[in-house]
Amino acid sequence: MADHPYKSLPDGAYWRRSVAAAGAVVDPVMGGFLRIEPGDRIATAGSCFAQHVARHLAASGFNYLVTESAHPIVPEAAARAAGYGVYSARYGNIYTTLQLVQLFDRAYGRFEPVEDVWAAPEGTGVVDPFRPTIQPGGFASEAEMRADRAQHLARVREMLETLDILVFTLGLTEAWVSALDGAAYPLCPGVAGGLFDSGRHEFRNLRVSEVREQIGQFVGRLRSVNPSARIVLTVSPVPLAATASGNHVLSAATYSKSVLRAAAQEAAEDLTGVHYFPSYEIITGPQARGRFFADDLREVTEEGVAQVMRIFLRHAAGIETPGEPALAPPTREDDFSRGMAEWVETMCDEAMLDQDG
Amino acid sequence: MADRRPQSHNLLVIGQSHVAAIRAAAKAHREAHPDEPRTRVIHTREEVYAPELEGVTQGDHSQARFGPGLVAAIEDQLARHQPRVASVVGGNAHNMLALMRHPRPFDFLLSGEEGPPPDAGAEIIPEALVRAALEERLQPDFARLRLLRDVAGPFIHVESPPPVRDEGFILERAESWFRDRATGEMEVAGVGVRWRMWRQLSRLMREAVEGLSGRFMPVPESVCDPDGFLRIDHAADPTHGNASFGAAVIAALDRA
Repeated sequence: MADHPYKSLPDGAYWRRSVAAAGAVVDPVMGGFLRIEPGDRIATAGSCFAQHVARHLAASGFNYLVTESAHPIVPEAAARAAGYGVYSARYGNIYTTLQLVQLFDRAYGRFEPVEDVWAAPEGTGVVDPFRPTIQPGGFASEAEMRADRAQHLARVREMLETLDILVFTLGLTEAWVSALDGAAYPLCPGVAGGLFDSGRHEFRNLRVSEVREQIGQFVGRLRSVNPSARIVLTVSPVPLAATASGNHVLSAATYSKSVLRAAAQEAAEDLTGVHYFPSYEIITGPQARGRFFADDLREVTEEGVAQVMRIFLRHAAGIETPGEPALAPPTREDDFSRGMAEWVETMCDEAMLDQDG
Repeated sequence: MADRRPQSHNLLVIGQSHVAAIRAAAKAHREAHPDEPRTRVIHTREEVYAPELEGVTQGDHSQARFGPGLVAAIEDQLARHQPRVASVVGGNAHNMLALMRHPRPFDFLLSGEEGPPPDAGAEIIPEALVRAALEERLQPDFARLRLLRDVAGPFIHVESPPPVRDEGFILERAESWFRDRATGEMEVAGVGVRWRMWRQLSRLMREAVEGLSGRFMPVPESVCDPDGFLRIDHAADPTHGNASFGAAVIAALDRA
């Protein structure tokens, strides 16, 4: 028989052997991948699927980097609802690469959007247009929002400068931007604050070339403050909830994920220290037969997330049985607060003893 | 005192540590004016009423109820003296959070009020999260207010004493406590955050009391300095008023 390039390929190159035969537990990582060393500081950002990645990484004993944590006096449930601990900093979901680049630029004072405060949906308080759901009910005042944003961007800088690895999950290509300066909002104005104005707000649907360029811009900027930073790109398997593209949402979701997948591939091939991890394929591939989607055919089940993270940790860290992710971190009351409570309670007791009537 | 107004109502003041100032003032008043209506107090956590609360499970106070001894004591006072009922329930959650400077210094912006400027260099926490921190600590007090209303009907709740401005007064007492506990260097929290935390507590207590059809009574102006801090001659310690504070509160309750 004549020799040809396919004859010496590994099983992973053949659909029948590696996909049809493996079923839902297929491991599609082939070739070199990122290696996480003990002590590597890992940060996360991206669309909502990245929240799962963050949760599992934090639970797997890695040095999960959190530079913006809630103050210890804040109760855990309130902190979580306010977006603390969801990602490495309190930026909420970053759906597009355009947002990611602009986050960097805002953090380093390279971009100051014109429209940078929105009225809260309930009519009292304000929201930060670049993370409009981060503070439930909105911030009490513009001054409070600006103070919080300044602190937030400082923590973003700290994260960018100290991380070893950033796991970024690409989520969407559709974005609403300011017609004034191109500032990209994670949500359409009017959805969670602000007022939609067709004269001031424009719809954008990013193309492969744009996403690829923006990934390159971000990597360049990140390396300018952290030369050894490595990046893992994944594509969120969660389809669009809605589209403003004019296409059917199924077609729009396919376009969006295709663009992100292609751009991520190109970036991983072109840029040193940039890796692609196939979360999207693991969840959405035909081998899964849809079992990793919840009943709404959008949300990824915990089983699906676990499958993704099992494969990620196998290749990145040689871990076969990752720990169970914690749904809620342990209580955060600090020693200082406990000591204060004891002292005040003692004063309360002494007040009674001292003024016996 | 030339312009002293005789007390015209029997008063029943219920709470915890802040009843001490009331009790001391009531005692002095009773001794000086034995024929006038009296002020009586119930400290709900005194051993004689134990258990103060029943039905509390793992910090959940939603099913809490006063112990039978405490209910009987309140009902007895109501039946015998037909008093005007007041509450000084709780009133120190703000001090637990912000009397001394936290190792991770914080402050917040209080909506709708100015007050002293924010603590320089402190982390600014959103006001809603400060409210959440206070609310978590106030759950037992909210339950006590609800239970008091159930036993005694609508009542007047007296605002907690404002913070004292004098850091030395606080530090002196803090050092004697923390010195023996091998705690690191202690600093008094900034005057602004202490004031704002007290104001926030007052807002939460007012909302809770008014939600129970009660009345919230601010501390008398006479015990405060021009900026709203507790005058040092009305302070028993960094967190409590003294007998003269109690006397001012009794007079205000009597006029309310």
